[in-house]
Amino acid sequence: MRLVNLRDTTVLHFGWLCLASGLALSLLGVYAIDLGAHQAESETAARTIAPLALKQLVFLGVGLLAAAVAAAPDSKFLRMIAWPSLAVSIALLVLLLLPFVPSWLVTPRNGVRGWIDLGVFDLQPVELAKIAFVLASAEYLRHRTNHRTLLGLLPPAFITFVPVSLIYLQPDLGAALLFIPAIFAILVASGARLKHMAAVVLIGLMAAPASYPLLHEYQKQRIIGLIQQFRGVHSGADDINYQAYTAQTVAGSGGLSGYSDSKARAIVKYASLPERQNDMIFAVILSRFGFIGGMVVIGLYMLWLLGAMLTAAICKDPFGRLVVVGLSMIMAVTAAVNMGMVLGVLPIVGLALPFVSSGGSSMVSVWITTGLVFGIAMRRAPRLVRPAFEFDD
Amino acid sequence: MAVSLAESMYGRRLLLLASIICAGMIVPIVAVGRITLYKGEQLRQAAEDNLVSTIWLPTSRGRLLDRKDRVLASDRPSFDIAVDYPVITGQWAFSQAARRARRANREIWKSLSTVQREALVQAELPAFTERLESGWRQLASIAGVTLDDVEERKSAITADVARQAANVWERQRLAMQRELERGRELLEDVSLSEVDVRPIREQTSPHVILSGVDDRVIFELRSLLAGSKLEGGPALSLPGVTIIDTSTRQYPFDHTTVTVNRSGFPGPLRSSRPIEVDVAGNSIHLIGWMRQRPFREDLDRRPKVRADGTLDRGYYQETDAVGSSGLESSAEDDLRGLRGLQIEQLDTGGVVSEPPTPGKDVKLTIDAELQARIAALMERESGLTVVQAWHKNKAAVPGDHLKSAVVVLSVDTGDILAMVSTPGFTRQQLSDDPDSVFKNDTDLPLLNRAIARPYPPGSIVKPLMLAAAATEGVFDINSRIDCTGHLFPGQKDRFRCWIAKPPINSTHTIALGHHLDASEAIMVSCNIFFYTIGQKLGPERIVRWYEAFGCGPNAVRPRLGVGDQFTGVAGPQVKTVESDEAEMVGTDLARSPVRPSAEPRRGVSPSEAILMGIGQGPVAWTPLHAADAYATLAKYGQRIVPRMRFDEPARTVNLNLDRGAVDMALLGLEWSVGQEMGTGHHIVVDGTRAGKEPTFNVPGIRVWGKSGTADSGLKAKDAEGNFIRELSGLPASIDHSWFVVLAGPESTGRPTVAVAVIVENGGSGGRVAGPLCNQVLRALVDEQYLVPGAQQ
Repeated sequence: MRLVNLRDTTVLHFGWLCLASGLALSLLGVYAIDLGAHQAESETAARTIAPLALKQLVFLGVGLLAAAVAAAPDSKFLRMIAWPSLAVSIALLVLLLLPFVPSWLVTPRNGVRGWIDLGVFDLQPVELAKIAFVLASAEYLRHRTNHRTLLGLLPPAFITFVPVSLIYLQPDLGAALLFIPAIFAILVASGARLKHMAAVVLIGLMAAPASYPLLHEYQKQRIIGLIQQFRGVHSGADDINYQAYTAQTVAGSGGLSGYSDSKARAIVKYASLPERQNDMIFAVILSRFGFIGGMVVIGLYMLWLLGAMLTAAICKDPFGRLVVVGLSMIMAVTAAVNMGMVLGVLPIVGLALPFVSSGGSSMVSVWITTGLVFGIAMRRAPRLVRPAFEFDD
Repeated sequence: MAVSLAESMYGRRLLLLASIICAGMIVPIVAVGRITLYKGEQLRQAAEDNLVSTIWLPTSRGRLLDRKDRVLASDRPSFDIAVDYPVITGQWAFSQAARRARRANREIWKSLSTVQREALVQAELPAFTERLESGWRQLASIAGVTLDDVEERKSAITADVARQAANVWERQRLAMQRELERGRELLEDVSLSEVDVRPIREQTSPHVILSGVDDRVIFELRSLLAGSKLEGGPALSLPGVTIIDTSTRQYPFDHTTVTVNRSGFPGPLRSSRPIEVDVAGNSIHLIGWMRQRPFREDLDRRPKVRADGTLDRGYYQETDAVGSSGLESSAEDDLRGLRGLQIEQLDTGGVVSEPPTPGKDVKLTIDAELQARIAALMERESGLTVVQAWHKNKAAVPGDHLKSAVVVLSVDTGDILAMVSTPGFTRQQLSDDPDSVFKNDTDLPLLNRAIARPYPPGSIVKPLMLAAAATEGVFDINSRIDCTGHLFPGQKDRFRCWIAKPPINSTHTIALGHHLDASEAIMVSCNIFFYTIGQKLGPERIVRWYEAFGCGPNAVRPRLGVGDQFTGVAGPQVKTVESDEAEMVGTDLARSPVRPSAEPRRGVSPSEAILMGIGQGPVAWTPLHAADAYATLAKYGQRIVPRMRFDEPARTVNLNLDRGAVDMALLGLEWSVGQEMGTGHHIVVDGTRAGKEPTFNVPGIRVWGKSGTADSGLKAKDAEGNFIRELSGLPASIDHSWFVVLAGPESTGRPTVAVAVIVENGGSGGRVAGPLCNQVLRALVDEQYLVPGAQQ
């Protein structure tokens, strides 16, 4: 086994779609972060890039490097590190929650214990955990058949439950919930019975209201806020719905084609939109580029997903297939949920917009994801392949 | 590819997942379309509104002035200067220094120890401390106080807030302790020992450092605060400064001390020593008062954006004071003024500003000093409105203070020179004990008796009826009438003359020795003469003539803007209260002796017309109506509708009264107060001839006057059908005491002022209202509205 195996690779593959769309989204993100930094007070200031955008550019470089590293090893190596990486991730998630961890190492932000201060940068273990979880789940299910029974679904459920509960305790409900569609997609792709999956989904939907009392007060407030928005009640516009209404105002102001650069900077600045460079960056893009810009962003995600799904379709390696499917689902859900909360159709859950939102961990994580897909896409199928996931429906 | 995919289970599963993802992505696509295209225009407007900073600049409310430009009401500009608490304690400097140190060392900050960080903060601190010190010096200098004064105030604030914080934290600790003892989990993420890390509200809010600062200081301060936003301009180096507008409405004549000269008072009250009388709440019925918050209707009446989309700079904010009654209320739109507006386009820096428009001054026709003098005469201390033995009012309790009202009108202009109603109230009462004003159903202090309470006119209408009948041509002014004591000699229980009292049953014909002419009839106030006039006028004409003189819902009415005005009624709209329950419902009208009839509308009967000839029957009016009608008589029928504001154009109505009849009426009025037999000639203060003294004794002033003793009509019965004496605190069977005069300098042949006086349930007009009326004339002389002997 070699760490880097480029022997059976091809140049023409669908991974390029992911790379190209990811790069376009990242550059758009750098611009939007600069726009949100609102420093175009004068001509001279307009020409200098905001420090945060510059930092994001550096993260993009690091992300591309991470993508290259992630693309290099073949699936044997990835399989080998799948379980250890999940174990490390879980260990880090546990570390976040330990009460005696010094505050210089783990500093809560907005009440969330989600970051480990490594001096040079802040590591967000949940980003690592998402990928490790997909790798481990794929490794577990790649040649299995018992997941087609109800009992056989228990091990994958357990693999999901451990990281989800640890992340929920941070508390980061948004990130925790991403694991569920990922395992759902992996199970569906790996041949789990659809009636079992449908039953699980139904039970989950029916049990969801029962989990309401378990939510934190601020999470309940966000759900109440969303209901108020749906009902057209504006009483919370200055408190619980402030962020939501401000985001929608900024987003909607773009109209069909958006404002000019300087006007959009002013709109974003004086709207005082919280998290405008992170979770709410889609609103900034819509203000600048309007409906057309929004369609371009969604189109780029669709392009990334198209590249990934085609890669999964062509891939013969069962592990590779499941990794791509799991990662695709995480990418799709993250993007859709982020846009949904900016646009007022989902509660605000604190999920970054992949490639676009500022933040090192998120950027490196999505580029590792892209790298993994690219790595799987560029590898030719071996001549003799044991067919996988072919069961009777 | 899709076909080949569909051939394998894995392929189909992939297609299923792709479909789910596509379906999921449709949601953001639709939402983007909805928010940018469907709601885009509305949201764009909202977003662009954020680019505009609108600063409203305060305006000042206009003044209310009296006819001699004395200030009756004005804004006293006053401001407080408040500073954020962290600036007061100096904590602001630490926060700023820490922030700057952290920014400057952003890259290495996390790797620094607490001691190293502290050292960096300390290095930054002097700059901010110096800025604060310089700012405090600057503020003290602008406000003209010493730095020690400011420091003293700062210390007082910090000590006060520290005490409050200690109390709050102690309470919170105890509450948490109790929760923990009950085994409950604390909702907040604060340990018991950390309660005091959470600042209380007072530790983050501004506190008043300087109060009652004048507008000069504020102007300078505002300039500096504006300069702080601009580069290069002079600026205030003290941060966190807030200016609070604490302007108050001042009423300089609200409390007035009047020296009352009692040398011309009736004997028992006469004294060579003047007395000082405090008049509280002077003219409050007219001026009104302010309330500190607008009502919903105010906000709706003047919204920020008018229906046509334009901005109303006079719109109400929640903290605006609003004229609540009287002229403060009716002249609100004139007095209010318009705020200034400064609109700054934040993204371009463009500024459009419009300076504030101060409220207009409103000049009233009243004289504040005259008001005070008359009000002093009506106070208990003067004794003129207190029940006296010589009033011969057996039903009243000696020493009781009677309610009264006075109106003084300029005959030539219709200007109301004075209008006083007692009992009144004060602004202090309104704020300290509002129930004593609003719920005092005995005294009804809110009621302006000069215009809002209906009274039967009684005999004071007699000269008016004479002029009306002559003008109508139904009465020859040269004819005489025989007073037989009863209009219908066969019916001794009806239409009796006041002189025909048992056992003597005299008549005016006997008293005078001949049949009465019109002037004599007015002099002696003969009822038979004026019953006859009423009879001759008949129902239709007599109602029309009351309305012509201003009494009635169809009459041309004064628009005074000083609260409720009774229109006057002449005709079947009213009836005497004879209620079993003696109920008092509704407003001023309902509280009065007459009220709207529940009976179907009908015409005035001939016998009612006869009664109306002497001012009784279905007729009621107010002192303002009386003064107005007499002024009209003095001008031979040219009625100038009374006014309270100088800027109100004069409105005139010409009744074209028969000049001969008016002359006879004026002669009768002059005899009434000038001839021994006149009903308003004298009062007898001790029941003997020696105690007889003239009612009117102001030298150099010619008086035409008429007394009136009007049946109050209060004949309420209780449930058993017995007459009850008390009705809403009023004696039930005492007549209202009227006196109305026209007066002018003796040297001229014509009156220049009309004065109407009513003393509620006072009894005899001549004995009770007369002496008060006389002193009102003296006040008019003192204030030079009547100059003895002068040609006016």
